[in-house]
Parts: sequence; structure tokens; C-alpha cells
Amino acid sequence: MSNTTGGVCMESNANNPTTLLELKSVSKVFSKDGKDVLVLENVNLNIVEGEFVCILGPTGCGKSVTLQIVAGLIDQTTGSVELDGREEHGPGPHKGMVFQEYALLPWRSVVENVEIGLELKGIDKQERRRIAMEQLATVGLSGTEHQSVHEISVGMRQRVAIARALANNPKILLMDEPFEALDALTKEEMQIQILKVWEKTGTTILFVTHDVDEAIFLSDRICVMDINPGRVKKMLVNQLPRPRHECMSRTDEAFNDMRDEIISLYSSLKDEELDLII
Amino acid sequence: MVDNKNGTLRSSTPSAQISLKGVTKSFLKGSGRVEAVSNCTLDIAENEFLVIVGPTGSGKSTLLKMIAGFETPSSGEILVGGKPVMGPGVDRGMIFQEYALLPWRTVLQNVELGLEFQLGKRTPQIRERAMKYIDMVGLTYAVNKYPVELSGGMKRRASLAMILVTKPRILLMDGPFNALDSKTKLTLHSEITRIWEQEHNTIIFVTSELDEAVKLSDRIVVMNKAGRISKVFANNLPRPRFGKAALEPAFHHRFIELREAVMDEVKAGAGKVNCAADF
Repeated sequence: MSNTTGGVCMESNANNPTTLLELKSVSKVFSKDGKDVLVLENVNLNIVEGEFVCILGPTGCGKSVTLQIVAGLIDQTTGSVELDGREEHGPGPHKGMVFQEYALLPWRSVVENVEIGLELKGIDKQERRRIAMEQLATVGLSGTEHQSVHEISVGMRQRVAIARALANNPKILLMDEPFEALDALTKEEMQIQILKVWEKTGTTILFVTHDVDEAIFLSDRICVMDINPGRVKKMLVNQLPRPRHECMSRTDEAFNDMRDEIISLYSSLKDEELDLII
Repeated sequence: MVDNKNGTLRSSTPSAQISLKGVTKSFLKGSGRVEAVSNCTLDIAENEFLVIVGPTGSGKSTLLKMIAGFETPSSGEILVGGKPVMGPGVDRGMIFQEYALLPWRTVLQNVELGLEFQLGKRTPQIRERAMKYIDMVGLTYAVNKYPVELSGGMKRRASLAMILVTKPRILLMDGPFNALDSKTKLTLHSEITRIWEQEHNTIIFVTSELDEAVKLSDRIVVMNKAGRISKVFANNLPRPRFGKAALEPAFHHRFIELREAVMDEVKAGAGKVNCAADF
């Protein structure tokens, strides 16, 4: 599946064979100062292969917790997570992670950072260099391979992190506000870059953000979350035409309509909470 | 080294482990070049705890990166153990402000990483050594946690263990405790001192906080806006410098005295910019 909005029409059919990721009644309780706090309540989510889904919501809605549960970094309290029809426990290279902290190893060069997963898997030097170079090309970083990670900009570092995740040929790419620490211009560049990567590789992406425009620009569907307790408020289908990075402006009417629809979902939020997402 | 605990300088004629000789680093800016680091000459002894302070833009981080081998001097020379630095090496471990923990690996797996790359596999020996250093930084209770579950202070500790486990002779630390709350910072100050006393490594530590500089250092190097070393202060305050010892009036007096002297030097070197806000 590639750059169509096709994933959308299969949404209603949970048994569709191309369902890649399925969260069933996932809840999470954290203990805080001896008290149990429900941070995530009964989340159901279905993602089909090749789909680009954004999880959107203000601080405290449990969007990152949801992603961390999918990643296997923390356990859900109840419910289940299935990837490719199999229940998931713990992290693995088949789930590529790109977080806000890009977590590059500073003593390794750009290409050596992309090779980390391959090297730990025991893939021989020539082969891992070939794969790493290919993925650096995918993210538009050919020619920087021997630079140290200090010499490159923060936007480029995040591209290295994406290339590193792709090098493991993951079933799904899990991204937690990956462009949040970047300046506005670089952020926009990176949004275009990730769409290109997605179109080229056809990989499934689950992307957490609190930025409404970002979610609209990127996604096939948006999982809109609410707070107190964190839960899914609505699944929105994003029908905006693709490819978006060449022809779409964020001032288009359709874009604005979508933004209005999302903001109206949050009408019960206080102003300061709303400020966090727009 | 041992006599250090008695409050005297560790050696009157220490052997230079690191030698900076006229080190300069210049960058293109507009139509000309600016010197971020200018003609720095300094010898650093084995097992010394050297702290470099200076206002923002005084080139202290750049100098550290050159010692690490991540950047190359435009002119001058850096020798480690008598040999010129040609690039990064396992003898020098650098700890950055950012954390370099892999999110899909637990604390233990992250600390094992450096050794795993060296050996090409995980072994019980690697695990044992990783556990030793995790214990040293006080993270034993969190060995099986992933980085997303760690606080800022815990992440610093994990990054520190990740570097220490490879046993670098020289530890290069660039504002490693910046942005931590003051309680965590205080704990880490006494812990890095303890680790340094245990491991006998040489530490070069960059910071803009003078309390930190006075508390940790054997010597304090002050850099100015021009990227030059403006003054080197010997720090003869007795160790330990934490807990009860730090409350002794005589100690406290000397502490303040040194801090003020360093502060005056930093201010003098900051040009017209009011750098007092940095401290």
C-alpha cells in the first residue's frame, strides 16, 4: 500500500487480512504516590498495512503511553496488542522507534549510527554498510556518511535516526513527536521528508503529535485523543489528496475544514489546554 | 593521588597526560574568520580533575571536542600520552549534554553496548562488568527499565555508566549536569567525585556554573570571549568537599573566596556583554 487514502475504507472491517496492528481494550494504570491513576482507558485501534496514522491530543491524553505500549517499552494493565496477528511483548527491531531525543551514539559516525541494529544482529560489515548507505539515501543524507553526528544539524540527526530504524526493515515505524525539538522551518522540511520516505518504502507509520496541522498534513487517519482519563475520542478519516508535499497548502479550504472539525472536538477543553495543540 | 584526600595537591611535578600546544580553532564567518579557540596552551596531569569555565561562546565546548577528536584544530597540537590526537579513541570517553541512550534497550543493555561492539556479542562477563558500573552510578534498582521510564537524572547516570564501562583513561564532560534539578545535581557531584577517586581517571569538565567548578576541580581554567585561556586557578580546597566538611566555616570562607576570584576573572573576560546572568 502506498500513497493513497485507501487504508481508510478498510477501517470498518477488523478482520481484514491486511490489519497489521491491533490494540484491543488497552488500559494503563500508573501508581503515583501510592494511588492508582488511570492514564489510558479502553483504547481500541486498528492499523492496516501501509497506513499512516497519527495519534493526536494534548498533554496528558496518554498518546505517548499508547505508543510506548505498542513499542513494548511498558506493559499495558489490561487489553492486548497484536502485530501481524501475534501478541507483542517487549521491543524489537521489527518495531522501528524514532523519538524526540534522537539517541545517536556520539562516538560513531553517521553511517555507523545507522548500522547499529545491523551490527548487533551480527550482519557482516559489507552488507550492513550497503543497507545503511541505501537508507541514508532514502532520507536524503547521501554524502554525509562519514561525518560525526556533531557536525550535522539537529534536523539531519533526526533523519539519521529514521534511517537507522529503516535499516532494520521494520514492520512498523513508531514516531513520538519526532520533530518537536526542531525549529519551524526544519520541522516542515522533516514533515515533507517523512512523507517521501513513507511513499518510497510503503512502511506503516504510527505517529504521535500534539500538533493539529502536522497530523492533518501527514495522516491517512487521525486518532483524536482526550484527557482525564486518556482515551480515544474519535477516529477521523483524512481524505485530503496526496501527494501533499507538492501541491497542498495549509491554508486550503479542505485543510481548514479538517482543522475546524478537530478543534470542535476539543470544545470542552480549557483555553490553556487548547493552546497546547494549536 | 592518595595525598589528595588530605587536602594537598596530589603531586608537585605531575606528568602531563594531555598537552595543548597553541591550539586554535577558527571558523569562516561572513567574509572573515573568527577564532572560537585561540592559542590555548595547557598541560593536564594524569588523574587531574580539570574544570573549564567561561561565558557562552568562549570556546570551552569546542576545546573539549578537539581533545575528544571530534573536531580538528586549525593550528596547534593536542597530545595525549605524547601522541597527537587523530580522531576519537577509546582512551577518551565523552559525555554530552544530550543523552545517547537507545530507546529500545534497557539500562543494562545500553550499558553493555560499548563492550558488545568491542566483542561482537553479549557475554556473562560483559553483563557482570555492566552491572558493576550501573551500581557505581546508583542505578541498580532500574537496570531493567527502558529510557522512557527514566527521569533526567537517571538518564545522566545511565549515560555515565555507558561511558565508564569502557574504562576510558580520560573522561570529557560537556555540561553533563546542566538542566538537572539542584538536588540531583548535588548528588551527582559527590558521585562523580567518588567515581573519579575510585577509577583514577583524568576528568576535563566544562561548565558555566562556578559552584560546580569550585566543588569538583583540582584546577579551574577560565576562558574568555576571545577563546583564550585568561587564567588558571589552582583549587587547593581540601577534599572531601561535601556534607559536613562543606559546612566548616573555614572551608566555606575559602570556597567563597575562590569562587569570587574566578567570577571576577570570568566577568573581566566576558567583554561588554553582561555575563553575570550565566552564574
